[in-house]
Amino acid sequence: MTGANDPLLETRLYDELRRIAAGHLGRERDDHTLQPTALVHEAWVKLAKQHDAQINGPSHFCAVASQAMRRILVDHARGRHADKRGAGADRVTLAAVDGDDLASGANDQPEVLALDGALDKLAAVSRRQAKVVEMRFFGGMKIEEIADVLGVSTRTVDGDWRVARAWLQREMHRA
Amino acid sequence: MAAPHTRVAAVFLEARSLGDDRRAQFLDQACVANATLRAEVEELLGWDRTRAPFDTPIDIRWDAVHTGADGPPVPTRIGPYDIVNVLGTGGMGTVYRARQSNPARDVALKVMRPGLTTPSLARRFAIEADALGRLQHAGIAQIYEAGTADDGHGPQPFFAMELVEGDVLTRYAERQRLDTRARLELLAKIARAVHHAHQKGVVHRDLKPSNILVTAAGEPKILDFGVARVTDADVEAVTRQTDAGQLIGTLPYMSPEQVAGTPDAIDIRSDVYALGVIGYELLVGVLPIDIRGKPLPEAARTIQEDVPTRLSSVARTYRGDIDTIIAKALEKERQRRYQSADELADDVERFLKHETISARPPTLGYQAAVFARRHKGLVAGLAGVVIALAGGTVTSTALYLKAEDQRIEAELKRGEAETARAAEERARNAADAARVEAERQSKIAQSVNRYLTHDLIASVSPSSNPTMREVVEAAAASLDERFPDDPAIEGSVRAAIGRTFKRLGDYEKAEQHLRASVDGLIASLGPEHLETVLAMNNLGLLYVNQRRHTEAKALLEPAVEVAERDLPADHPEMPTLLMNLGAAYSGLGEFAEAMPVLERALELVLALFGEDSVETSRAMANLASAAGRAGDRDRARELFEKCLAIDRSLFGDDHSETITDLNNLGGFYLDEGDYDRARPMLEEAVARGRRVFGDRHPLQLRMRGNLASMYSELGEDARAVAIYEELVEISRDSLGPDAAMTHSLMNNLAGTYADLDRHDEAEAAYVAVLESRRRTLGEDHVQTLLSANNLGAHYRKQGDLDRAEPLLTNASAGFEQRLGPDHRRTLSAKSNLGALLADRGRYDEAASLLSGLLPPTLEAWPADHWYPALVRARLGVALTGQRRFKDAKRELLQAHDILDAALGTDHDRTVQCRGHIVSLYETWGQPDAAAQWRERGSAPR
Repeated sequence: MTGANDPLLETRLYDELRRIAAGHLGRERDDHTLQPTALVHEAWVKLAKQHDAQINGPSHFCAVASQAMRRILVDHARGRHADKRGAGADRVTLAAVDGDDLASGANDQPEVLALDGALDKLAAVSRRQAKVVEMRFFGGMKIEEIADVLGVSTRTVDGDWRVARAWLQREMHRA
Repeated sequence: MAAPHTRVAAVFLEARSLGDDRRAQFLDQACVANATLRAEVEELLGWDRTRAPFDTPIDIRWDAVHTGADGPPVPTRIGPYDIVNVLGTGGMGTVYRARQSNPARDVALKVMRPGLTTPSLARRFAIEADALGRLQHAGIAQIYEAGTADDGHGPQPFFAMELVEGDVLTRYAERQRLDTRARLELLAKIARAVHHAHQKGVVHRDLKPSNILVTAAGEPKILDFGVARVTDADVEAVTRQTDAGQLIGTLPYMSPEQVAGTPDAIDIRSDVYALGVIGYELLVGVLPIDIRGKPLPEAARTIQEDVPTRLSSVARTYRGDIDTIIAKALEKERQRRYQSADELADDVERFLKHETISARPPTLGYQAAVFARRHKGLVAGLAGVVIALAGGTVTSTALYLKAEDQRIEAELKRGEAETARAAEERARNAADAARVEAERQSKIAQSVNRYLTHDLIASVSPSSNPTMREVVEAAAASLDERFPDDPAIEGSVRAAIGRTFKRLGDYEKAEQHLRASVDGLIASLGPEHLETVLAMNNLGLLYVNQRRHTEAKALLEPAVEVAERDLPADHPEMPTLLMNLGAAYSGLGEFAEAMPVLERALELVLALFGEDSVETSRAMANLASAAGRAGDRDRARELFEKCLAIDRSLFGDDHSETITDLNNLGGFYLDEGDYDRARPMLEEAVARGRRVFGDRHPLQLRMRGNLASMYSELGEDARAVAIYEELVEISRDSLGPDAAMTHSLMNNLAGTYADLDRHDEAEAAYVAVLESRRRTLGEDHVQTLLSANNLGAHYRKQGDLDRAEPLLTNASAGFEQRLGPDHRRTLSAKSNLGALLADRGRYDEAASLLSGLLPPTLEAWPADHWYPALVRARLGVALTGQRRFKDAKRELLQAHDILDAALGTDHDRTVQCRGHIVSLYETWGQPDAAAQWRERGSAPR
């Protein structure tokens, strides 16, 4: 049984998601906005086809993908790849889905980093709560799917989410 | 000091669930004398009310257009165009914003990836360039030029297109909050533009919202017209199945004929279909056919077969005409769609003007056609006979013509010599015979054709939505008086009907017709006519599938004899005949007979199709499985491996053939007890099978069953039980409680229950299987005997020796008679009986039986397999009973070594063997040795 922490799968996913993302940016004039679930779905189709017997199902896969997605976005935000790609050509920003009044605007990369840092701290006091946020926010997973991966009730996940979001906001505000 | 997080969390959650009035009171109580806790909770409650930036799952906006990391460097110039920047990269290539100097304008330049270009593609580009240039319509992004540039990296086809600024169609409609009317007006405009292109002979083939931009002025512009046609990108993507990721955005808009991967069937009506999907999505925001999360083959099948959800059932406001219009555009069959995009536009506009539309809701009249489409495979099965006969006519006619030529030639040479006259005579006779045969074949083809079209299709009542079964049954019922004068035709038709029943799984009716077909053909054409032989092959295969191997053998042996004599060696039916006969021999356990027949089948197939063909890999699989069961394990392994390699290269990893091979090879290693090799293969096969077959497919059941039996052999019983329980349920539900698969799975489940000491459940399952097998297969059937053996062994382990003995005696005798003395099953039943005799204290009988079993057992299993060791251990117990302590010690120690190596030191069987060793030393009067062994961990006997 592969746990949600599967470094090999995560590495592959990381590469795959990055590749897919690059492909999507490529669709000229296409919708440049992608739901993480759509990305993850594509990664799923590809990896499932190409590699792998060890993926235990979509929820598990999404959980690992959430982790990979977080890494990708953090990497982007830190500009780790900027040198490879030439001057600031590649920019990833976060935006709330529901509208133009973005809570985090086009230049909000620090938001990702702040969340990433706060999540690390949260993980130190409650690993599960941090996971819930990671899966929900970076993986676009539903409460039921998260409950499935963690092997707890949806009620528990909901409680975790409530606590975590308040806790993280406070933490990010402090920082 | 901060309060513990869990405490804070608990108080916070409770507090936030309370109303403001009760909250303060609760906090007073919960945080009594703990101000830190209270402050922390209060703070969190404050944050609970604000909107967090991470509340909604991220939406990733990939603003960047270019990632230099993955692509080649950006060229500065392609053909006459100066590259400004990259607009995007996709599966087929890259799109640049480029500048043209004459006329001075910016264009979108789509350049095919160098690796994708071939000389023929470049030629097609040149041909298309002209047609595409003639597309001039306000609704179409003008294609300025399609050409080929070569700047040192080989020819690179490109399109230069009008650069359009605008929003993707669906996004535009959303942003502008367009009402239904405005959306329909857009759809009509798009359809008119598409029609313009159609009139110029250009089909788009890749219409989708992302290929349609709406300008600030609200005018739609279609991009990439003709691009897919030039490249066959759609067909290629579906048929090669390599680019699922790229396809996800495209697949939902593809018509059934496109996903079928047949370029010839694609025409303007494929675009009409795409317009239907676009209209649907534009109106209700979802796609008519949901293929989300489906693997590609499944998605393609869905598009070809599933009826789209009616627009009106997604949104009731669209009941009536608009529902009808969209449904007509989305018809599976091109003939039933609007025959042009203009017709679609007309109807949409009529609707907007409240006029009567041309499309009509579907009537009952075409349900027969719907039926035929739904059952395409089966109808094709029936129609196959027509094609086969038509093919026969062609061959016969060709023979006739050739003979005619010879006759004429002979005539020209007449008078030259007496021998010429004789030659002419022979040629004339041959020509006459060939003509007669050709006429006969043609007559058969016509009759069968008439029969199928008139009687069969006419029998489909349009109002009742009949099943294939009803149609075939109607056809079968009307068959009796149809061909009073021509038993040969009746035989052919019956063969077709029989095959259809077989595919429907109705073996009884299939047999009835195939039998009648064979009898009719023997009576009319004789037992040695090719058609008779082929009919015998059909019936023989049915018997093989039913495991009625004796009857299959009786039928196929003479058929093969005739075929070997009369058919040319490269006749394509020859190998199937041989394979079916080989399967019959194998089924009877006559592996010595099976092997040469299957070897010869493989030889023929290799000569006919070459090494890299599915026919070859199938023949290899047959031979491999016979070789394995005949005990030629090296040959079996070699063939299974080759088979897997061939299918992998032919089909890739995710194909039913490859997966089956993987399962077979894994199963082979499992039989060998080589779990390290078996495990990854079986697990991979199951994981892939889940995606390719789905969970209810019999093959998937079998593969998971194999995997579970491996887990159970490895002592991972809980895991095995969980799988088996699920499988039994699926199998009962989908195949029925008396199905062979259900029996096997229940049997294995029972065994695993027993391993887990869930004896009552084990017994109940064993008894149920045995009774069902007795009832459906008869007392003497191998499977029934197997059940008797298993239940007997179970009773024996429970100490219920009185019930065990008759079952084991019966199974041993039955197996010996049906499979021979050296078969694994005979050996294991007898070994169980031997153990039982020892249990009863009949040590002499037990020792003589078991010592006789040991040599053939060592032959039948690999030397390091646990099973022979188990027999050895049982012999050791019997010898202990006989007080032949030295012999017993030798056998038991050797058995323990092997069990330890094969299964591990903590496996039940190994532990049990140590128990036997302890009792040996105790009986022998060597308490020290007994104690030593007891310390190593042994099960009490």
